[in-house]
Amino acid sequence: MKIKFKIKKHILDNGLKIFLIPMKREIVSFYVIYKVGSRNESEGKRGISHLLEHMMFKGTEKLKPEEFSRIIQKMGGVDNAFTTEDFTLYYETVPSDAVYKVIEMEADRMQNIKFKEFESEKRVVIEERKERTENSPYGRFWENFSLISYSVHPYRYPIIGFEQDLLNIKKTDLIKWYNTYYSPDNAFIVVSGGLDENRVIKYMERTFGKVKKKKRVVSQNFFEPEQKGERKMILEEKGMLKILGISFQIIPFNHPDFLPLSVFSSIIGGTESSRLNRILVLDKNLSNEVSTFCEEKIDNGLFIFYSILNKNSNFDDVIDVFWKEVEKIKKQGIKETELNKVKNMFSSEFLYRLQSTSGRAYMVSHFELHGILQKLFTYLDEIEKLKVSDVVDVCKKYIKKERANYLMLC
Amino acid sequence: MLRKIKRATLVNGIKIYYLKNKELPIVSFAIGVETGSYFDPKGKEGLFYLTSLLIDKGSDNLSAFKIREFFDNLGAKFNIVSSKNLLVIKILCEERFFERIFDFLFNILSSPSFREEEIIKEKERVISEILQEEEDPDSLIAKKFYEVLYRSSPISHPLEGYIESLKNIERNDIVSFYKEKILKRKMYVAGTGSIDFEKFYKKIENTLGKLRGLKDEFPEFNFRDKPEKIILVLRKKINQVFLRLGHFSLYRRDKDYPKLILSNYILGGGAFASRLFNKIRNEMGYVYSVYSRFFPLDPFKGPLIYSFQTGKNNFKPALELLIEEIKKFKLKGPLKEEIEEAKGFFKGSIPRETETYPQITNMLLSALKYKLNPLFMWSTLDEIIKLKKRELSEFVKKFYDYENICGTVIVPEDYDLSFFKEFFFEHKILEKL
Repeated sequence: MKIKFKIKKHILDNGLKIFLIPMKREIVSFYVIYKVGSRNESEGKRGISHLLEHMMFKGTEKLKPEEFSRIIQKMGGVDNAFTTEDFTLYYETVPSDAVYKVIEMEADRMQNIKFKEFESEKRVVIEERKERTENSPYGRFWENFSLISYSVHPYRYPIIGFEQDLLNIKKTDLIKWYNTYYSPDNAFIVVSGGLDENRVIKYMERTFGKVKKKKRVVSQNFFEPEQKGERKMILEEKGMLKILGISFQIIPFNHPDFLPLSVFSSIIGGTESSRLNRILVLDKNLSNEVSTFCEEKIDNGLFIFYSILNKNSNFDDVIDVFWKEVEKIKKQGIKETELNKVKNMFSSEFLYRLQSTSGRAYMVSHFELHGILQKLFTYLDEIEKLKVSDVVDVCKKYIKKERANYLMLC
Repeated sequence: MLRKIKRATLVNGIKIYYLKNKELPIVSFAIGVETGSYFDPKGKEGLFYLTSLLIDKGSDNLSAFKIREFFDNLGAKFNIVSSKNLLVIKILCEERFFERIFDFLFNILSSPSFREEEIIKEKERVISEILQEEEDPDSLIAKKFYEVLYRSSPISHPLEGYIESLKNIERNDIVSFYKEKILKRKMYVAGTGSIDFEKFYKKIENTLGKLRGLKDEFPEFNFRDKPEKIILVLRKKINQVFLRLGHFSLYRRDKDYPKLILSNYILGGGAFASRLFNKIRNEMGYVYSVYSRFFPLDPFKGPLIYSFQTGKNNFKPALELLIEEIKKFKLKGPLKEEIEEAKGFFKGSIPRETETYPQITNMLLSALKYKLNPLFMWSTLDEIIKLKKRELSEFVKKFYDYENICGTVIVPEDYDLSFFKEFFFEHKILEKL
């Protein structure tokens, strides 16, 4: 299937990249991506990127706290933001004619935030941590899973930070963080929907164009030593929930092995008719839920197997099934029909994402962040070209017992 | 484009709403069935949910795996969603596979096998699900709140039923439930896609059109006007307090529904713009999430929920503030500028909510479910825009009933509830229903 849509690229003098995706719509999705996340953080200040994300809603010289979102909503739009290990994304979806106000306000908060209500917002983030991580078995699972999957890389730490980190972060730390990373040359913007391209660019030049570059961001390279043996952690909560995770460090999203590894993931456990779903959920009833996926990261992400076990199942049986299927693929390969199924699924999924302004904006943001925007439209061709041997090779290369990390929550 | 919605009714009464949209070669459709956990017999709670889970777990000639594989092979998204008052079968697929998928789906629906071994497996899964939810305060509070609000009614019990009631369900219960309470219930089909309406219609006529004797009435049940003044307290190993209070809301068809939409946005539904969010989260930093929310549940009155989670030490001031804000809202009504801001939000919401194929399908399905015009989003918006401050204030005074609320609270195991008992001195505080 050949899919192409128009993307217009423009770079402002201060280094801010802008991508416009015109669509026949009455709305516009506006994405601002800052290339900073928990990956950039250090000891004692974990969670600072996420805390800064909250503070971005707390006003500037022109706007009162939360006025940003009130204005967006008043214009008929919605807005929010989220922080990941690799980036922080602010987004708005608004009626087309409201895009100019969005541009004005986003440019304003790129340079003028005032850090009002800092202490109360810190309390809000501590409550968020308690709600999502400490009081949720799933939150506890994922926090610990990252901790055992890496030994030194910052991906091992929670995006939200630990409570002690949050208490430790001062307003001056946040100001420094903002001044280091929220610079136009460390960000990019994607706008999709019903828009007048020339007018939008002109407006961007008048607003974002005036934002001065901040302290130059030094690119950071993080090191993770090669894993020489398996790691296991048992979280005994004495509850009824049993969750098993197995992870393997893989490669960044922009690495050539990533695509065959994603296909391998779909075949072994990533779909409802995958091998592990068939055995663990449908046939043997050992698990209630099974999934596998590859994390799409700037540095080495993880291949993850995740399963919620049935109350009577034991971890060893599920682990055993996992390894038997991996070995089977290594020795016997995969069937052409399995490969074709996944190719079909990937291409349909791609098509479904094109439906919305936010779907297109997100796809472009994602590929641009990883420096492979040019591959967006060849992505389906690359999948089409994949052979059985490509998939088997990456399985042999990355899914090894001595590189496995296990977390059992029970 | 949205104004070109086609409508049709088959001889057996199945209504169809369809919108042709050629932007992408995609078809989305949903089959709605007027059934739900309301029909669960006493002692066999969970029967409807279990039956719905088994629909795609094997037919006369196909295994559960083969069914899943079929949809995955064609890159189609297929799911069955069940609730207290509805069963929905949803598909999103590429245009070229539409006919194959519809025929296949009809084949599954016509002859589910309900094999004994699948029933055993599915029951075990549901039991695990119930036990897991016990450990997640968010899921637990949602479930328990319904049990309190709709106490002693056929929709009070959780969709999944109870561990004990699941044990009472046998294969013949499932077979007859499926025949009587699913295949013989009123259905409707909503869709949008790149294919012509005639093709869409023909496919439905040749498949679902064969069904006969579809009934649509839900048996009468006299619900109370106001909830019992009960607050259920659960103790768990947590370090926050989870609160959910509420009362009955309105039927979707109620003429005051636009007033509910607008006023709730101002009080607690309008995310960053709502009063509850601004007072309890922004000003005081007591909570991460706080909101008021409502859902239609026709043919029953839906709930209106006030909810937050907070640290142990902030529970008292956060609760007092919540009630104070509701009281203030009730007494003084919304401000003129709040009404205008909220209207601005709704004016811009339709293009956002009708952008994707599944969104349009959902809109058409809601129209069919709640017996509304397919363009109800526009007529509701017109009504919202016309609302005056005085009539909205009158509605708020009558509707938001902080005195007759019920609810559920989950607290840490050693939490001292004496202030809470004083606060709700007119309520029965129960640790078990």
